[in-house]
Amino acid sequence: MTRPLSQLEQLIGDLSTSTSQESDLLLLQLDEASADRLRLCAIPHTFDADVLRALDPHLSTEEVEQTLEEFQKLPAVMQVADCLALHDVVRQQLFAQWLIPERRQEFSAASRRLVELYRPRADESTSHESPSQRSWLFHLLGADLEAGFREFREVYQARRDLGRFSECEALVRLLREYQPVLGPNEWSWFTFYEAEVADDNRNLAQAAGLYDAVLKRVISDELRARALLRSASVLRRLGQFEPARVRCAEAIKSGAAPHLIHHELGLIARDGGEVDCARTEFERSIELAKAISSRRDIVVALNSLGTLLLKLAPREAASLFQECLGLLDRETDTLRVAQVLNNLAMANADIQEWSASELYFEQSLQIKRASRDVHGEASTLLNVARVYRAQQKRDQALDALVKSASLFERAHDTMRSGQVQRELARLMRVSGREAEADDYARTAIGSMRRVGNDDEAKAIAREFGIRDAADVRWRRRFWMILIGVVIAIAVIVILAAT
Amino acid sequence: MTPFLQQRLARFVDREGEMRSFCGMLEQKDWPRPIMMIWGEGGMGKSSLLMRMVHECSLRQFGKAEVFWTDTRNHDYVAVMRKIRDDVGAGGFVEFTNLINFFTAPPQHRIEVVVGTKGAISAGSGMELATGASVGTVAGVNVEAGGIVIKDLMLTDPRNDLGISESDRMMRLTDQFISELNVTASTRKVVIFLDAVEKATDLTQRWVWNELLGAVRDDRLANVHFVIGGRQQPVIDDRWRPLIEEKQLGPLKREHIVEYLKKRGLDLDAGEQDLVAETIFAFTDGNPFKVASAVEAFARKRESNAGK
Repeated sequence: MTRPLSQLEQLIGDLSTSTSQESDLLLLQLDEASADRLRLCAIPHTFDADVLRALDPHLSTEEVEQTLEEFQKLPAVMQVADCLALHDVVRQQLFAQWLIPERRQEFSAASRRLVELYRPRADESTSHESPSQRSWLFHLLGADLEAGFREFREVYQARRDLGRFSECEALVRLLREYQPVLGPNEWSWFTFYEAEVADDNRNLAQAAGLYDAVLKRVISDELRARALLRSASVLRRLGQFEPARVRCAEAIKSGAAPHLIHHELGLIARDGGEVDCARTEFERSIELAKAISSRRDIVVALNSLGTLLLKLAPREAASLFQECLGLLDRETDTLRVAQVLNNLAMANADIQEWSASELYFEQSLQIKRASRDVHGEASTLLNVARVYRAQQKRDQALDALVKSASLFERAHDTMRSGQVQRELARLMRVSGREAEADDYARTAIGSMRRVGNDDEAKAIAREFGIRDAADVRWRRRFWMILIGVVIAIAVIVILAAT
Repeated sequence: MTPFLQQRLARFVDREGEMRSFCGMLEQKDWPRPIMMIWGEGGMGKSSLLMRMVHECSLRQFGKAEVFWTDTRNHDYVAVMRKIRDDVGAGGFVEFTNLINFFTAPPQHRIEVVVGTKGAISAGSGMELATGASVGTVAGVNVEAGGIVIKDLMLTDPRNDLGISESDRMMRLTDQFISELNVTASTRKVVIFLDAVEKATDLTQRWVWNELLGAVRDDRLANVHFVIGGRQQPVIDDRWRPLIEEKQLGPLKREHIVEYLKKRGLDLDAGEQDLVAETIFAFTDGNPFKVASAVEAFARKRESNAGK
């Protein structure tokens, strides 16, 4: 046996029982002091000179540079943008080793130094989202799990309230790394957050399973109430109305806010087609929300009831939306204001209060334009065109529809653009402009074909008496084949006869 | 390029098929598949291969952008577009940058810049500045010697005084970005590398597929190629199949380890080299990362033994 081979076999033999061969191999490439520093580098996700200095404060500037130079040569170290990162497999193995009880003290101390490094400046909010803010939060958990977890919950909730769901998922992924050391309370909240993320990502079955897992644990009343309500909502969207109602009943016992429970019960009844029951629940929700002056929840419940009544009792719906509008701040609730104005305009259209409807649509349109919301502007223009038509304002209707179609095209919504073209064709027809009606109808058919909506294309063709090109092609092909078959049969018969 | 990176590229072995396809994508005008997906389990050398491909782009002076996800650098869709813009050249994305500032910066921190069709530029008409403030320091617009430069304020939270939903905001920003990227790519080929994409959040992954790559599928983006590295085998439906070249990275073969040992410059004769390669192959199952680590650890052991 040659000498190099025996050296290699000895090296491999030493690692044969290891469960972390990749990181062991890496550490074998370094002397003891460098190996210790590399272990420290597995605590953060990436590292550079500043991070290394924080991890090992005894290093001089020169030593920091030398260490980074040495690490850069390792196959397990990669350059990521302006810093270095350990290969995932190695980092996971080394990070897991930091979480064992014997090393927790050293780990917490190193994490505390990283917390200081990443601490947000005085002019930065802790809820600001950036890689350094995430790093700060991640190391805060390592420095002091309890305090870090409190901060994590606040930041997570702040991101949620802003609708930053992708950021919430990124935060939960960070927390997942501490799974082995989470206490029972933290574990339950972590599972709850995982369920919320699954729910945000429309993985309803997964979310339902995770909420169930939370509810099976011994948990605080606050968490139980929240999990029950969220679980009810998920079950409703899965079409499981009875189990959803059971969850709501349990939520009442757990001390969940009654107005929220009644709102959810209203949604369950609405989705189950029980309109009267839905109305009663929404009314109860409004009453209870008013009792505690929860403006945001009053608005939500009023809007739910208004939407429910939009077709059934538009006058009542209009009055609810009006009340809703009065509660909203036009400066800070602008998105909701635009939605309510739209609903209000539709309710007024349904009771044929055309000028009021037009006014509300115009107000909604102003918000959409000021917000550079191309799609929203296109939708509102389509709606207001119907109101113009009803008032015989054909020129304005035409103008609104032409703009709407162009904006839908700009937003690459070919389907909606096709619907607007169909409306344009209808408008042209009632105006006696048959040729233009025909052109618009053909464009609408083309749009529907492009998005694969053949049924709609055929319906438009039928409505306007147009022979759909695709249909004509199909018929032509059919006749060609039929004629071909007939000729072939004739030839065969003639040949057979002769 | 750092000397370490050069050294790594020099020791790169195998993956000839992947590199051939990639070079074909760069060189042939009528290359049918503008998206290359490279996948394989951890340690299979995805990042090293992407590094090599990035280098090929540099040599050909193509535009390129690299987006690499880590748990703390978890780019959302806006961050992905910002990174691509900055890598490709922010000068070609003025309207996009303006739009991001519009959606995120409150009016008191922002001034409007209108670039006219005949080159006329007006900035901040009608705006009021606080005492002591100057246009040059206000929000995203720098008045510099060469003209007005629009700078991204790098804000992330959407303004709450706008009536636009998050999904519509995403569509507007993406449309503007795609439109300017398409113009930029009309003058030179652009290659976009997306690595460790499995670490992106679900929402971001959906955006990458439906909106960013969707623009390629819908012919709204030409002369732009994508290389995507990930751990999981992608589920590719029929709509995408003609556009995607899928490459699974497998383990190295014994001869690749011999080649690596040669490139590493270990002082071994041919017989020793074969035996060492055989042993490393048996220990690592050809996992490239493990192979490289084992060779380095072996080299280190030899050096320390020689010093004794």
